[in-house]
Amino acid sequence: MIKKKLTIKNELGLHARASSKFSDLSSKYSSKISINFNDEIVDAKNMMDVLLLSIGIGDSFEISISGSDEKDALISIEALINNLFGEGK
Amino acid sequence: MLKFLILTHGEIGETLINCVQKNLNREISMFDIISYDPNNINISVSLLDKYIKNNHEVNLIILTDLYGSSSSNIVKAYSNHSNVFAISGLNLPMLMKAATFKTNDVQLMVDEIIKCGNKSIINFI
Repeated sequence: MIKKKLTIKNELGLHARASSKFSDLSSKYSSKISINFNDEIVDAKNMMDVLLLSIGIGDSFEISISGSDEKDALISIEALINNLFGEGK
Repeated sequence: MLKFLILTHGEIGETLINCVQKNLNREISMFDIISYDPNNINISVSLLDKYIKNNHEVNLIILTDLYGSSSSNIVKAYSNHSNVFAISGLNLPMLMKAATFKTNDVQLMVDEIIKCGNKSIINFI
């Protein structure tokens, strides 16, 4: 299992479209992926559970990834976050 | 197989679906709509009856906006249909949950939609 602290950098945070991209990307991997934010743990593949965490810019959360493709999943998710979810800001 | 029918007042259903599509950034074709017109109840009743008869072999989840209103009450006539499920109080998070949660278990889907709707009501300031 991989655990890593990630910080949201895009202006609007993990809003609806970003949460959708996050869960869609997570769903491409067979690994179990969960997010721990403020002691609430949700399935990263469940878009509405991710959205309802209400994670904003500058907020950090812990991601846990467990499975055969965990390393690839983490690389992709970090890239999505660092790419500001493709929103440019 | 699961099918969804949105039975809401006026243009609420279409508007909510448009919002879901914008939030998910993709076309959503999984929801059927009957726009309920309190001034033409018979038309809505007829459309609902036809829809349920045409879909008697699949599990139907009917989403209504206002419990106790005639739009919800006309669904109660089908409570003896084992394939018909109904949820009131439709809001945007519930519809987004329905659009994104993947399961063929109708009871699980119903439970998740309700849970999401409840969880989304927060006194956040």
